[in-house]
This record gives sequence, C-alpha cells and structure tokens, in this order.
Amino acid sequence: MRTFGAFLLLYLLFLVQASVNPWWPDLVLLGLIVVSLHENRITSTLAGAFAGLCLDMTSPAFAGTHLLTLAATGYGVALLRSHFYRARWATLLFVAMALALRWIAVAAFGAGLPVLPVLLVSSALTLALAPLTELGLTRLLYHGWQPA
Amino acid sequence: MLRPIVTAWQDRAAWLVILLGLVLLFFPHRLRIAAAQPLQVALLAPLRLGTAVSQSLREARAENERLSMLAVRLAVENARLESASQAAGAEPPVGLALIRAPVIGRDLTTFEHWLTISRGSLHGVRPGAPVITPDGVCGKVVACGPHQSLVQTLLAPESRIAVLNLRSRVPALARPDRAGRLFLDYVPKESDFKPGDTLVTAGIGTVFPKGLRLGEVVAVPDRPEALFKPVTIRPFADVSRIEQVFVILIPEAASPDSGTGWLDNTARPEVSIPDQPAGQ
Repeated sequence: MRTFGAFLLLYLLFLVQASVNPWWPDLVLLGLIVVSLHENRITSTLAGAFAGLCLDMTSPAFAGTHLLTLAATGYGVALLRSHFYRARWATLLFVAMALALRWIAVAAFGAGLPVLPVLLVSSALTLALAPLTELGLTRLLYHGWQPA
Repeated sequence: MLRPIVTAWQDRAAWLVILLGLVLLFFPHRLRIAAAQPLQVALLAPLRLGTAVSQSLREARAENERLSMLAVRLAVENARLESASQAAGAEPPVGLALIRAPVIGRDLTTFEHWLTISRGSLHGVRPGAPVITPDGVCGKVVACGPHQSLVQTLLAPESRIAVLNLRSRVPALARPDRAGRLFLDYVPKESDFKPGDTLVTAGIGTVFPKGLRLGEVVAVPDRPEALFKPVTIRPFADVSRIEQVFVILIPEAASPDSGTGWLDNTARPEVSIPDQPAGQ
C-alpha cells in the first residue's frame, strides 16, 4: 500500500509538473529522491523508471533519457543512503547529483538541454525546495504527522 | 544469510531495469514513438480531462453570461413589443375612426392639464375631437395645427364632461378638482351613487360619444347640510403617465357645430349598457 502510495504520489507530481512551465522546480525528481530514501532498491529503481517514463511522455519525441536517469537516480539514492544515515545535507547532495546526472544524460542522448537560464532557475529552485519536500513527503507517506 | 540474497536479487533486478532503459535509448526512433503514443494518451488523460472540464466550464460560464444578457435583452424587447401590442390592440371596437397620436408635449406647470400630440389637421384631426386612451377618456382637442394638436385633458380646470352612472343611469356633470380627481356637480341628494360605480360619458354634450369609460366613484361622503351629493371620481386614464392617445376622428359629413348625429352609434357593445336600468 505504501509502495502504491509512492507511485501515486510520483504520478501526481508528474501531472503537476506537466501542467506548469519549465521554470518550476523539478517536483518529480524531488519526490523520487524522497521515495528512494525510504524504499528498497528495486522499488526505488522501478519508481524512478516509472517517473522517467512519465516525463518522457511529455517530451516532443519519446527519448527514454528521463527513464534511464531517474531509474539510475532511484537506485543510486537507495544504494547510497545508508552511507549518510539520513543526514540533512545528504538530500541536497542527492538532488544535486541527480540534477547533474539528468542534464548530462539529456544533453548526451536527448533532444538537448533547455535554455540555460531556465535550467539554472529550475535547478536552484529544486535544490532550495529539497529540504522542505523531504520533510513534507516523508511525513505524508512514511512517518505520519505525529511528533517523532 | 537471507538478507544478502534478497539484496543481491534486488540489485540485479534494479540493474536490469536500468539496462533496459539504456537499451531503450538505442531503439529506432519511429518504434519508440509508436510504442509511446498509447501510453502517452493514458498517462496524460487526467490532464486532458482537467483541461477539457476547465475549458467546458469556461465556455459554460461565457455561454451563461451571453444567454443572461440575451434574456435581459429579450425581456426588454418583449416588454416593448407587449406595450406596442397593447397600444395597437387596445383600440376600442367602436364604429368610429381612430388615429393614434404620440404625446410630444405637456404643460410645464402641472403636466396634466394640456397635452400636445403629434397629429394635426393633415391627419384628419379637428378641434373638438374626443381624445381617449385604452383605459378611458383623456380629453378633447381644442386646437389643431397641420402636424400637431393641443389636447385639453379632463383634469384641466376648464374641462366639463357629461357622465352617466353605468349602474343607476343617473346623469351628472364632471369637473376636475385640485387633487387630480373629478367631482360631480349638481348631483341631487337622493340620486344613487355608490363607491365603485363606473361612470361613462353620457353622450349628451357635443364632444364625447356615449359610453366611453371615464372613471370610478371613489367617495360619496354623507353631508346632510349640503344641497347636492358630493361625489368624487377617480379617472381611469392616468393623464400624468400617458405616452400616446387615440383621437376619434369626426366624420367629414358631420361636425360638432352642425349637429350630434355622428354621436349616435357610439355606445360600446362590451359596455353593455342596458336599455332600461334594473328596477325600473
């Protein structure tokens, strides 16, 4: 049920992101990182693949780069999270790494990067929103809203 | 012992997914697009649905606003047509020629004593012609120009109209009082007038045909010291609000000065004035 909730959350984030302009933070990536911080590796990888597939659907030509990078991100976060024992800055690091991986992959395999200002603003907003997103989504999906 | 096996299985499955993603990148572009199309439709269906609902809501609101405006416009148009229809269809079915005349002027002191209408001698209007409305008698024409006429209303101080009580058949002479009503002069004390009685023109003057509705008795106060019975009448026609009137055209063959023959057949059938009053 929790896994289904995670996939549903990613799908809803995808719907939100698909309906806003590209200046917005990468909500799907943030959601995936939060999910990967709590799910096992295969679930994280599948969640990443699902989110990437969704994002690939919104691109003018189905490329598959989002699928690849987000699946790798999900797996990587689920693999590396134990080394950081959920330190706060680890989330920022994961987001930064995921952003870098994603844009490198898009530049390498996809239809090219969006214009630089959009990329910078969106990445900065994604990084800025990461702690808040982790807090909110973790409580929403995994720990509940009761005090720990 | 079990945990490393599970982890190894998960790692292998995860790597398999990533590898599949990588392989997918090298699929022919046309094949990828063909495979993605139905999936794209399914995944984006909620967005399309939301957009469609939002669009239809916007359209419904716009349509609602347009129809509301249209309804208001039609209501105004309907009221205008009803008014015109009433005015056109309200011509009393008497055997006299009528001409409709819009009111284009009023006296500037009371607005009720004198009217100017936009029909004159070129339209067949002659001095002395009775002026009526769908509600009742309004007055008479006292002067004519080629295109305009001056109407003395029944509320003008100089106005006098011979009337008849439709119920008791008692004749009397109506003159205006200062309160915008009519007063009956010289009514014998024993005559039969009750509040609610309808008065029509008596046809005994030389102006108004017999049987035109004039007004309703509203008060018959009991004054033992008075010589005559004081009878107050509320005219049916609200002179202060009249916008158009009908002028009864006097036939060319007869004129008020030469005789009253043209007034003979003017009793309105629907007034149903009995030949003999009840009880006589």
